Amino acid sequence: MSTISLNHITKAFGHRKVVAVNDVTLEIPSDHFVVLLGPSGCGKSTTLRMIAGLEKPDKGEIRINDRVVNDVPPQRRNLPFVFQNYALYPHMTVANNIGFPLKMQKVSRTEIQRRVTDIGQTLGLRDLLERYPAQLSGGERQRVALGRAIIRDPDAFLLDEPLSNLDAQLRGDMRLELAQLQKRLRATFIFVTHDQVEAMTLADKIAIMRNGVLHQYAIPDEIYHQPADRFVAGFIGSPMMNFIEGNVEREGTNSVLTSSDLSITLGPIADIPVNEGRNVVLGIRPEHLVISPDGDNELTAEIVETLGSQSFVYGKLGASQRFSIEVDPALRAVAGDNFKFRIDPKSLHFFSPENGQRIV
Amino acid sequence: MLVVTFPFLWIVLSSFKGIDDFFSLELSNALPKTLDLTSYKLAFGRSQLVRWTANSLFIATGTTLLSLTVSAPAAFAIARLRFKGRRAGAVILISSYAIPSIMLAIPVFVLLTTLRLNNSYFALILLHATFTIPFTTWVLQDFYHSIPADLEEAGYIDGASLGQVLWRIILPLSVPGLLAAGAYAFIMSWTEFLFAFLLVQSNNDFTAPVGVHAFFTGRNAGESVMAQLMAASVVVSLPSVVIFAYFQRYLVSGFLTGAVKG
Repeated sequence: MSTISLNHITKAFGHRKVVAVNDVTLEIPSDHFVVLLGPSGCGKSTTLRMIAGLEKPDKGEIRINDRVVNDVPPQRRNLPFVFQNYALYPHMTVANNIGFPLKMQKVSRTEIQRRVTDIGQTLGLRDLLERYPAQLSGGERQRVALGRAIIRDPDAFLLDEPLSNLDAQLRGDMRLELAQLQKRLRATFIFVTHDQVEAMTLADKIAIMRNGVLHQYAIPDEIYHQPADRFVAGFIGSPMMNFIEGNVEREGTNSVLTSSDLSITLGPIADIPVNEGRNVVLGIRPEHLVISPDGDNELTAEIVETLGSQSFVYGKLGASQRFSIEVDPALRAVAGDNFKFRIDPKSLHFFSPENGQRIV
Repeated sequence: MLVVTFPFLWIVLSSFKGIDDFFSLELSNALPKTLDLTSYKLAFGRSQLVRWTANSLFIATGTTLLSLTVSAPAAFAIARLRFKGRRAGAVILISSYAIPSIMLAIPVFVLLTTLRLNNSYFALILLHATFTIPFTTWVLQDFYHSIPADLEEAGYIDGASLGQVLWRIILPLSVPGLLAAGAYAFIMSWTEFLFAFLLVQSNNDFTAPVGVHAFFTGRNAGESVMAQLMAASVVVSLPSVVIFAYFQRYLVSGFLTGAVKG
C-alpha cells in the first residue's frame, strides 16, 4: 500500500532556470496505475525522477504514505525505477542484474538465488539467467529490468517510457503483460509515456502535462469525453480533434458557428449550451461526425487514410479550415468525394479562445 | 609505417652487429650476418642496465598506481558530480599539462632539495605523477562520459551508496579506460628523462633513460659505446613496445574518446 502525493512541486534546471515542472499537485492513490502523459519536454520524466529521488524539487513537497521524502535519497525510498533504455548493468549476468537490489540489502546468497529463480520463472527468463544483457533482445532486456524492479517486492513502481524502445508488436504484448503484472502485484504503478494509446489502455488515471504544467488529472474516459482544455482535447485522439474558431449564431431553429469564411450547422438551439453571440473554439472529434445524405454540412475529401477497420477523410471546410471525418471503410472513399455530415450536439466541445479552457 | 619504424628497426639491427660491421659503410653490412650478442653482453656487463631497468620499472609502476588512484575518483567527480568549481578545476587541470616541464625544473629541484627528497624514488614518482595525473584524469573523465548516467542512477535506485556505485558499477565498466590511462602513465613515466636526470645523482639509482644517456658521458664511454648504446636502447624501449602492442586497442579508444569529446 503506497500513496504518493505531490504538493505544489516546482523544478527548474540550469543557470537560466528553465522551469521543467511548474507547481504540480498530484495525488496517486494506492494500487492505482497512473500514467504521466505529454509531449517531449513536458516535465513528465522530471516529475517521475523527483518521485524516485533522482532530482530534488525546488519547491513543494513529495509525500509517500504521508511522510515527506524531499530529503530522502533514492536508496531509501524503495521505489524501483525502470529506465527507458533499461539501464541493465552490462558486466553482470541477468541473474546478478535481477539480484543486485537484494545484494545491496545484504540478503543472503541462497535467498537471492531462490528469488531470482522465482522471478525468472514468472517473467519467462529462466533459460537466460546466466546470459549478459548484450546477448538479449529488446523484449528480454525489458523483462530483466522489470525483474530487477519486482524482486524488491515494493509497493510502487516507477516506469519511464519503458516500452518506447520496442517494436510495435512487442510493445503491444508488453503492454498487456504490464497490465496483468500490475493487477497481480496489486501495486501502485507510475508510468511515463508520450503514447496516448499506452496511456488510455493502461491507466486508471492519466495526468496530462505540457510545459511543466499539469493540464488534467482524471480517468481515461473523462480525459477523452470531457477534456479540461484545448491542449488535452487535441492531444488525446487520433486523428486530432477538429477545432474551429467562430461566433455562435442563430439561424432559424438551429445554432450555427460562423467565421470569416465558413458557417457550420451545430444543431437545434436548445441542444447547444453556448449563448448566441459568443466567440468560441469549437472542438469535434472526427469519429463523432455522422455521415448522412441529409446532413447540413459538406466536406470534399483531399486525402483518404484507410486503416482497415477505419477510414479517415481529410479536407477543408470553407477556404482554409482543415477538417477530418471518420467514414465507413465500406464506402471506399477516394480523394474528390463529397461527404455530407451532421453534427451530434452531445459530442461538441467548446473552449475559450483566450485561454483554451473548456467552457461547458 | 617503414618511415616511422625505421629508426627503431635500425637500432635493433645495429644492436645485433659485431663491432666491425657496426661502423662499416658497406651496404652489404647493413643487415647483421649473424646474431652477435656481444653488444648486449658488454652493455649488461659494463653497466648496471638491469638495475636501471628495475629502477624504472619500480618508478613507472608506482607512478601508474598513484596516477590511477588519484585520477579515477577525480575524473569521476569532474565527469559526474555537480559541485561549485567543477568547471574551473577541470580547466586548471588541463592547463597544468600545458606548462613545459623544463620551466619547472629548477624550482622543483630547489624544492625537493630543501625537503631532502632529491635522489629518492619517491620524489620521482611524485614528480612524474604531477604530469601523468592531469593527463590520466582527462582521459578518464572522457571515458566516464561514455558510460550512461542511467547505470549510475540505477545503482542508487537499487540501494547502492556512491561508494558502492563506484566500486560495483563504474569501476568494472571503466577497465578499458583504466588500462588505457594506466598504459599512458606508465610509458610517460618510463620515458621521462629531465627530472630523473636532474634529481638522481648516484649511478645506482639511475632510471633506464638516464642510464642509457650515461653511456655517452659516464665511465663506460669508449670506442664500442655506440653498439652497446643500441643494445641498451633496445632493452630499455622493450617495455614501452610491449605495453603499446598489448594495450593498443585500449590506447586507440582512449585517444578517440579524447578526440571526439575533449
